[in-house]
Amino acid sequence: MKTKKYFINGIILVLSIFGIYFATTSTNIEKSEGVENRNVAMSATYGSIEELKNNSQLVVKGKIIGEARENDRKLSDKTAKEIIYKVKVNKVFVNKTNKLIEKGMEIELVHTTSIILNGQEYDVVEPSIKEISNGNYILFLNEVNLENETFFVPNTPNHLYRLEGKKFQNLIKDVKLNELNEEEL
Amino acid sequence: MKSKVLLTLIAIMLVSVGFTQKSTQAVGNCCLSEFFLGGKWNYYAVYWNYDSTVPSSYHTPLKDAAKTWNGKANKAYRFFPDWQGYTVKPHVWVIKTPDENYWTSKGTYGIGIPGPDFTSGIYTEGRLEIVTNMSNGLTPAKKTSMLIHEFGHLLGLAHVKNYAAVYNESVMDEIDVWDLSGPTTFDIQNLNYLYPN
Repeated sequence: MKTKKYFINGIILVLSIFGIYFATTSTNIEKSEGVENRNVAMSATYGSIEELKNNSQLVVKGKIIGEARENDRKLSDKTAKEIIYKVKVNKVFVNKTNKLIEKGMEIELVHTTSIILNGQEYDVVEPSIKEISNGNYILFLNEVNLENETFFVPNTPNHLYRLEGKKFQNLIKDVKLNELNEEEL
Repeated sequence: MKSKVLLTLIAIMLVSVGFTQKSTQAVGNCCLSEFFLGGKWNYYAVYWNYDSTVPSSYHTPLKDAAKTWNGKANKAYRFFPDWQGYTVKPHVWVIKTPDENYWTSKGTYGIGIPGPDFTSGIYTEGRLEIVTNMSNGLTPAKKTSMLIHEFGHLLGLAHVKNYAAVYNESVMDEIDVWDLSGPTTFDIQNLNYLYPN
């Protein structure tokens, strides 16, 4: 008799938990943002911080400061439209480059937003990150060496972490690593 | 005893409300303008081929990826039916990107570029660029998945993001695609909307 009672109570409890979970999760997610998405490039997404670090040559905490400037870079048969941001480095977590990067230094972050081919402009990032606002970031970067120029780019546009409150939140919302703590690096 | 019955009923009600909301959101999410790049092909068959820059390890994945879109749009359209050894329009060219360093550093696997009027016109040509330094390490199955995604762009499909990505599996979602071997029901719904009978 007692076993039956526990069994029934257990079922009620499980149903209630599932019920509350489904009712709350399904109403909390925002409806479609309705933003036209013209991104035609497929970029990497990473499932762990280890993976992100392994695929970066430079990992820093830094502050995007000042005015960004636009740049048109001539590639082989197309033009890349870039926005170049100044980043003041606060901490270096990983540096696999042969450059000395230290706290207090300024580096340039080159963010490619679109390409122009045969007079048409095609986005290569999601609409939400065509512009990056000033603030504190954890940045996973790679070094690009083109002829006489060397600069840093995000190792993928899908993992850009901006400090919001106490945590670094990814500007892209639906990947696996939505947020990270500095201590995890 | 009565309160137990009542509690059970409330719990069952909450579960069913939750399920109903989830399924309504998923179904109601088809065919929004944000799922499309803006243009489309006006042909029933779009030929494709690759040039000599494309490594042989991509030849079979390319053929497999192209096949997965065949006959998917309202059965009438056969996209990318067969590899053609010559250039005809409508046509898609597959090439190894000429700017490997640049795109590899940025974590890009490939770019699917329909044209000439990208956002609002009728497509008559397209280009699929493979960033081989990024993609060479992928297994043949994952190469195929990546190329299915790029062919999706060439048909006029955009990335599936945010709310839609949470509720729908799609080859146009940069995360889902790695576990998929072909367009999902959601992708086909969108394709049918873009290419009605």
